[in-house]
Amino acid sequence: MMGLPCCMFALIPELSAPSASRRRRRQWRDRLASLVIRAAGIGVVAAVLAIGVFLAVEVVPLFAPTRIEPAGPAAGPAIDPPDTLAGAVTLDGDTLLAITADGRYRTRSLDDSSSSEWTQLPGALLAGQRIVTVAANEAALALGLSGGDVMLVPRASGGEPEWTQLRRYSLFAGMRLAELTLAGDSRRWWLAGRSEDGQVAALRGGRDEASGETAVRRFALPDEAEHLALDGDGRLVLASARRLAVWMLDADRPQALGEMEAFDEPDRRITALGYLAGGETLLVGDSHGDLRRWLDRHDGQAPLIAAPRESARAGDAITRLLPLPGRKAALVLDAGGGLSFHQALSGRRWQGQAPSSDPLAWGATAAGRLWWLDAQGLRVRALHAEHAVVTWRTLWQAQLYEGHTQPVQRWQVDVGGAGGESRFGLTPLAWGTLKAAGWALLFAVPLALAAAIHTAVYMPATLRSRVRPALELMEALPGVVIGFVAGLVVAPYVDRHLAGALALAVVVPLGLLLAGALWARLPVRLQRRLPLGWAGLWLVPWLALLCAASLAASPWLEATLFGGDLQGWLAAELGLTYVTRNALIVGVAMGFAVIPTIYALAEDALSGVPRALDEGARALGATRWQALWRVWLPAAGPGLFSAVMIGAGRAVGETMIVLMATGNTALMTANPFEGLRSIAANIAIELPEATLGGTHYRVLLLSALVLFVFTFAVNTLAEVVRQRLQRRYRRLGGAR
Amino acid sequence: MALTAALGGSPLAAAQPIVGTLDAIGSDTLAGLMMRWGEQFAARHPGVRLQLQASGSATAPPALAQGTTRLGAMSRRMSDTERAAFAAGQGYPPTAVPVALDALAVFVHRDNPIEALSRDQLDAIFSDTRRCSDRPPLTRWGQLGLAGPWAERPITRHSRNSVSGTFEIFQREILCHGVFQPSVNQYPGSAAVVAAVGDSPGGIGYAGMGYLTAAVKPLALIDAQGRRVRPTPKTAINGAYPLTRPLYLYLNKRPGEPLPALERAFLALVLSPAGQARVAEAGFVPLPEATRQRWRKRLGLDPASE
Repeated sequence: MMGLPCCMFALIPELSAPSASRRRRRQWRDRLASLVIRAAGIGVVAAVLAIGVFLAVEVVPLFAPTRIEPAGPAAGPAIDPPDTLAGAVTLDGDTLLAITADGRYRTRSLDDSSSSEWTQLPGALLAGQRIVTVAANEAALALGLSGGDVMLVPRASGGEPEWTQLRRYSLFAGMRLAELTLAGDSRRWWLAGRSEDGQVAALRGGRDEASGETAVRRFALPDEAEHLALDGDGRLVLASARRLAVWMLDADRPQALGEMEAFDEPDRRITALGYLAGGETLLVGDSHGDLRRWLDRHDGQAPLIAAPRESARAGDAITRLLPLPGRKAALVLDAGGGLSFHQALSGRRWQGQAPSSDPLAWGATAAGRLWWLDAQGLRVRALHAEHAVVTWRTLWQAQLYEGHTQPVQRWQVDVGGAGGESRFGLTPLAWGTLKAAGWALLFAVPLALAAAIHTAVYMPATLRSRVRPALELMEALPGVVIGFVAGLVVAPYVDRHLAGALALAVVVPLGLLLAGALWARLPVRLQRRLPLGWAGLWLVPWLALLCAASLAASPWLEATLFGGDLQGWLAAELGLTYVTRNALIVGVAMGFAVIPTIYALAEDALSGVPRALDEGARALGATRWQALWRVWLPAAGPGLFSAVMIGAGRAVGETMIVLMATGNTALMTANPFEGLRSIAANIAIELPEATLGGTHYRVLLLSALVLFVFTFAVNTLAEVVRQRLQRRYRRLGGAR
Repeated sequence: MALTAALGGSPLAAAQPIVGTLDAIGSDTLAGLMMRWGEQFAARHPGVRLQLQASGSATAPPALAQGTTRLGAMSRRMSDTERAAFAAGQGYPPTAVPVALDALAVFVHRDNPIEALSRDQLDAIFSDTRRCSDRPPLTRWGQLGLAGPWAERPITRHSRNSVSGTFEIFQREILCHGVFQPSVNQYPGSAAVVAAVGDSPGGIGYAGMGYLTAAVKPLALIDAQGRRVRPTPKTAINGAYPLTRPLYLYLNKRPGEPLPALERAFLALVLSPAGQARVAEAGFVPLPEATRQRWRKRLGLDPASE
């Protein structure tokens, strides 16, 4: 309205000579209107930008660097003269338990310097032996004694040891324990120990399936070892020099699962070993400072598979590993006093200097606090690594996840928190989005463009004024309804009549071409009664007939061409699995939703082409066909392009149709008969259940941001092209 | 409002009329059941209203921790981080009261001749990592011993989506915490899983027992001793059927203090025989009698208020 030419006003007599007050009022109204319009426009732009900014702000912490830093003031004096301390373990979020060699224990707060009094274990329990090593997991505490015995203390649900339930077992007869490791839960546990001269023995305890009684069994391993690791299923890994040997301790005697060389280089040695939380990933540190992941295999072949090595680095030998509770990560200490944070999949995320090179005991809490006990006393550090599992690379590239033997693209988030590994792969989702949009456009673009050309160029105005609103009515159908019909009505129907449905794609276009040719052969008298603009009506009965015929012929087609079972034939001959709710169904359903958008914009672009151009071409002797290809389409080309682009933007962002018409399978196949999972549908499914501020939540918002940027770019491109087209029309002297 | 409650209140609540609005947030699995209890609650105590917001189990813990609700319906237990967040906000751990059992049935298309599957076989059908079975994946019905047209028919797998409690229990009990194959179809609701299997002859899926229709056939599970266990309320209660999970109401109960009157009255209803009768109507399995009594005692609900 601001662009209205001034002379328009001058033509209206009343306005040509306004009084001063009226003019003021009018100016004031004008100013108000322009203000409101400008504010609304800016508001819209700001709202869109605000969404983008909100997404970006929520996503940024995902890529914050991992840090380990001092947590407040130094935590006070040492809890005891360190020479008598046998070990310490984390009790719960903010307490640790220290145990001395002569069997005294006390708790110590990690927040302040408060601690409990020393308590002495009954002397009869120790029977003159000293405590030499302490190990712990969520279910129990194990104390290794100098005489080769172990004491097992179950932990209550809050983490504190139940000393009254203490049990003592013999692991070695008269040999000093050097290393102790513990795995399993309260129902079934394993404990393995290594004596100072390298012998290995293990205990298995728990309820016996057959008799229902608790029993403890001791195993003596024939192998000697320098390091041990134990997972929660009874796998015991022994390492010596370069060799890894894997044993299974769930039967009556230890079973050898196999052994392997960890490296090719003869001068490399294994110097540290440990299972990450969940007991599926083994970390192997070596004398050259390299750390490598080995994954448990469950296919009955080799017991472990090595993950690709990170870029090799020369460094000090790795001396100790500390698997962190509840996450697939570990802290790594090397001989030079260097400390680093390693995350499975994303690798080393932090590197720095340790408080001292050889702590008496160290540990971490689930809340991300690292404590360190050495001659100087207790020190506490804060570990900031909430989203360390995610990097740009792990989001998009295939990863070797736990339980697999090769890198794969997966999206499956572990929400149970039961030690499972979340697979945050966005590539299958992006692929699913593009696959759905691609099939939808393949279905919609030819139909919508052909319809637009026919209505804009050939159809008489009376018919056009009916057809356009009818097509625009299609747009009013909610996506959820289209999705519901596609998923619950069309998909099962197509599943039962697959041969006929596929035949439609061939029979209908060819049949309609034939019908068109037939029209040209009609007697002239009849043709005149049905001119070109109305010829579409002639095709309607043919269309119905062809559809009915190919669907009716479906059983016959299936029986004669595909041996009675097209789905079986597809699987056997082409290796294509057929799933009821697949990409083709989505393509048709979403194509149906996109057609009105593309049609409306394309029809606009075509009807804006100055008629004079067409008339000029025809006057010079061009046929209808030539005029269409040489005049109409080149003139409206950018408009058609932008129509398709806007349609693509709509298809990429469409949620409910994809959600309901597919099985939401995050697959990476090109097979049109399998399902897919799009970014938008994935957000709709998972965001309501994601913990606010968690990694899952932020990765979902990142995928939303990716979608936002993509549709924003596509729509902007389309809009720029459309505006250039409008300028061109103006140059050509057309209506707009 | 208080006046009408006092005049028209049932004799049970005569001593002190219970009025007000009870807010509950949480699981959509429990939504139907909560609504039924809400109606029953309002009928018993005119003047009270249950306001329910059912948008998923994960929405309950933050609301409880911040104190915006005192009643959280969950189809799974809180995770350690969720419990820690509650303890940090309120100073004591939340109380999880089991209110019903949900038994998951594994089912196939009604025409499928198969009758029972072992947990190993289910793992090999659904799992990508096969931690329980250590064997190659099963992809055709012929591999499970079916003959004729079934031998070459591919197995199509249907499941709830990965953020549901239903998904989680199946993952824990059948997959040994492994992960699902990416080709497992995931649907946002249990009824959709049943409908999808009913439509696809080669389909197999799982859902709460209450959702089954005539289009699908529930399978028995073969346990370690080779016995076939059918999913029935009886096997769910006595523990023979492994795919059973409790559904919880999480309470914000300060240790050593009784519950506020409104929550007390609601739980008294939920843990009464009349309340448990609604459980069966909603397609779940009522609590075993001993559990019900134990929780009544633990929450200090006197037997007279039944």
